[in-house]
Amino acid sequence: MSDLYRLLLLIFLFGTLSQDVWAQEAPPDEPQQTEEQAQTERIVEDRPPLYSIKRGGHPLTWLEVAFKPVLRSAEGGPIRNLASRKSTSEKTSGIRFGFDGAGSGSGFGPEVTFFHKNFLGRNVDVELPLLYTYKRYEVYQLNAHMPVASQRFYGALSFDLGAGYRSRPQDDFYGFGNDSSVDNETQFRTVAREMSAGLSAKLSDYSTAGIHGVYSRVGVTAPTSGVSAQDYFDSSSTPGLQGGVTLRSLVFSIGRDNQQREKNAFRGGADRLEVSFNDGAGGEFQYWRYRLTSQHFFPLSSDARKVIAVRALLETNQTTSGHSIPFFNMPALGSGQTLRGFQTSRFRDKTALALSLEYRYRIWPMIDVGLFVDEGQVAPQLGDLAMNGFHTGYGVRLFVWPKENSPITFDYGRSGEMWRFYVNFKPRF
Amino acid sequence: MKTINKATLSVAAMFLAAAISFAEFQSEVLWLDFDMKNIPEPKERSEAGFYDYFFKGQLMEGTKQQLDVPRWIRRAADNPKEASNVNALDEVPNSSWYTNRHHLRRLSKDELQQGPNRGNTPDFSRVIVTKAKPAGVTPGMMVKDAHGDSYLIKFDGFSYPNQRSGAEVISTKIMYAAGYNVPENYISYIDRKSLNIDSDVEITDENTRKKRQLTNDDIDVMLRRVAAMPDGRYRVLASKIIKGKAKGPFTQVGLRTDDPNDVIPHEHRRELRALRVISSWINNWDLKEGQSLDLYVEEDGRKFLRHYLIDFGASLGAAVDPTEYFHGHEYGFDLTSITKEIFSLGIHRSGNEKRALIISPEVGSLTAAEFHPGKWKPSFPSVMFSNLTDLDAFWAARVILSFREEDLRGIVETAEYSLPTTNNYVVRTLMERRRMVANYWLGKVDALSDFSLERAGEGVVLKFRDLILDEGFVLADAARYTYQVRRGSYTSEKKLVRTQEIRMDADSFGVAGENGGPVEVRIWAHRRASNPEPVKVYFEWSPGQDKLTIRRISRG
Repeated sequence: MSDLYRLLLLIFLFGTLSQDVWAQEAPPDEPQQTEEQAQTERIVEDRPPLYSIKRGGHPLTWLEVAFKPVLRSAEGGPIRNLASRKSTSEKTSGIRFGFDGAGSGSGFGPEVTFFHKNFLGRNVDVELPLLYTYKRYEVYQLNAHMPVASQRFYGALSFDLGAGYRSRPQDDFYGFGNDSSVDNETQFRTVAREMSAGLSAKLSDYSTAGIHGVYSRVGVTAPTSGVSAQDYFDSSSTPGLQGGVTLRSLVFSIGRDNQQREKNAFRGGADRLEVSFNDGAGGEFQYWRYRLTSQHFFPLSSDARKVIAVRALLETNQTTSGHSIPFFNMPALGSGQTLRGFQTSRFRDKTALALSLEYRYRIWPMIDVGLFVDEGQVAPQLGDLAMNGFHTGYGVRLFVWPKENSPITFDYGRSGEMWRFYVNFKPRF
Repeated sequence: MKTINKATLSVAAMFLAAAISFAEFQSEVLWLDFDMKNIPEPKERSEAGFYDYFFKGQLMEGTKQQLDVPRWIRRAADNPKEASNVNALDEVPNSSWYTNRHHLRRLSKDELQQGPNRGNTPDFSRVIVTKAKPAGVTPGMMVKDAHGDSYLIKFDGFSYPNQRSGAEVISTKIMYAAGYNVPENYISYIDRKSLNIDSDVEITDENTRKKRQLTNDDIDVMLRRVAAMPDGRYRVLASKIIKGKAKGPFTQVGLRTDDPNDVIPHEHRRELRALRVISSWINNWDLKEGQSLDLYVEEDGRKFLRHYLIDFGASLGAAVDPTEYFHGHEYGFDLTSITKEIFSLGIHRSGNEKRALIISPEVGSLTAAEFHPGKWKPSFPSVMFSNLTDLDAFWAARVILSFREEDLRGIVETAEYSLPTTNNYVVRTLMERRRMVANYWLGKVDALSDFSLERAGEGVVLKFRDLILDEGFVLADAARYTYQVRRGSYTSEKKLVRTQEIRMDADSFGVAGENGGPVEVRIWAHRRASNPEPVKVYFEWSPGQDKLTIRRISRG
């Protein structure tokens, strides 16, 4: 093809293309009803070339398509129905589905709770929560609360019965003491069966008290995976490590809770003191336990979007003469509830003190951010706690409310040893 | 490929210029983009929800846009992609999406007040309830009136009589006059006694979550939650069900694949991009996909999709309750605000922390205070809105400026507010917001508009409006314009005028006239530190020619 033909073709093409774009005239004075009937021109004849391919081929479009069924279901399908079903707090009986963990390091999994608030027509409140986590931790419980038929205390005093089964396949153990080495990491398995009975009383709108007797049998065996503590530690220095323990306990508790909530707690606090006497079968174990937990909230702004939150845990166990305490019942620090940024149950001894300070602020109506510092130490006796003995963890946490009153927290904690990430489906702090 | 020499290229360039000039004046102006050809019935698109406006619209499409490198390059070069459905006069032709109304041909007061309403007004002397939503935040029902016409009934909030219904009627009529397809919305009054339930109306029981018959008790419970009039009747917003088969909302990005008429990606339609500006004026913040509806209609024997905007209840400071402060100031999930909150440790005071000032129960929170046209945000971001260019916004500003105070007063009267002070306040606030929108967007372009040609002997007078001057944003004596005439190879010297008309006598065309071809007049408006790109006006001229017609206006 000669240059001339090329040029003529070019001119022809260019002229044709330019015609639609440039051919215009002034706006009409009246609406073009009659012309609309006749004119069938388009301002653009076809879709942009490769437009659909470009959009369809974009990796984010594939992501869209992948998530579409789940999100559509959340909008108006089964997931939505599940999420928007009537609150079980309004029902007399039924099944509650949830998601939870079985304490630190347990992972999380589905929780199914059968409940009846008027069992046998006698206002007996019965709950049967069943939890199984992806790390194969199991918690099965039966709790029943019966109002005591006394005119003075009716509705405020209840008789409680409980039974439970707990299996923890691989809890961590590093030995005792505030300076236990991270290199001593071992695991152990416990299977606990427990029965309890007692009375609970509501002393006021904010205060409760209770006295309960507990019978529990805890078996300790080798973990399902990891290094067995039974192979690594001596049973004489680690009471209860070989075989397990049967305990009878009498627990007295008193608590006060006047937390005010607007999604998160922003004012008031909750305190609980628990004193128990524990006596082991066979005469090896006998001790008193004193446990105080406290959390308080101080709003920094009138709209409660900025809050200072503090938390404290103090526990000490005192043996009676010639007796000891099962190692697994000693307080341990290193969890989302005590000292973040450390391995689970990193420090264990008869006495433990943990303090948390958080600054929380709202960044969106359904998201809060918290900056925290945790301090904690363990010691053989209360008097052994020292100012320079604290381990420090710090980090940031996110509160997300997918549903009102059902927050999920995501905590990222750091320490001198490591970093840890925690997810909590029922945060209490 | 052989090398093409310079001489050949020159010849080619001349041919090309001639071809363009020739083509420019060969066909009629395109005032109708005929996207109303007969098409097979499209499938119904599911109702837009969280997935569409948040996950797909905000997260996915927003991210795609951020990753669009050519778009960034165009933006860096100050050359964004302009809308695809704009004719040579920088206007939007009529289509199944849009009809030029008040902006190009002023509507009378009666026409403005009538708005989209056609045919019978609702007759609620006898009402049959055919569907109901007694629970939820916004109770409502579907009814048939005495004429047998179907309406969606919306009530005013218990403590805010006339607020939502008034706002919806006003916004509907403004959007109609602006050119959009909107439903017929009426203020009506219903007596409880006239309400009868159809034989098989089912609702989902709040407690059992199971379907059951709607009862009179359900209606009574619902009516206890809404605003009642002193005489016991209920004032309602009756939205007439639009004729045609509903096919779901239109997407805010992309095309409807089962509509062969849909060839312009929605994010490149000017009337949709500019919706952000027009909506900011009336604070119509709820612009999710669900606030639109495609209808498969039959007109003149052809079946095609017509595209509607629906539901303006969340506008003018109204909603179920008065509009919260953050609407218009923040997106529903506003990453900018969240980021500021995070890094300021909560010290930054975001929109969702602030409370809106309630002007009155009827008005709600409509105000011009703290309104910033450039920063105004709808409920969720959309590619369609972020594609808005200065020229799109200028077009929208021209549409908005076509509404004068008397026009707005006429429209506001149809809201039937109980107090004259409400009418006055709404009109005054709309006028103030109109001024703010115009001031902001006109400042970004030349703001020259309404070009017209008149014959003056053998010469021509080119008249235009300077909207910045006309709206009083600058002093009249600041008007200075430089113009230059070009025709073929002829280029005149630049000349300065101080009025909004340019006189070009036959002598000044003398040399230009000899060359033939279209006349190009370049006009620079002097109001910024550096001269912006000129607006170019093209027209035909020859000695003795009777009718002078502007063929093309080019900006930027």
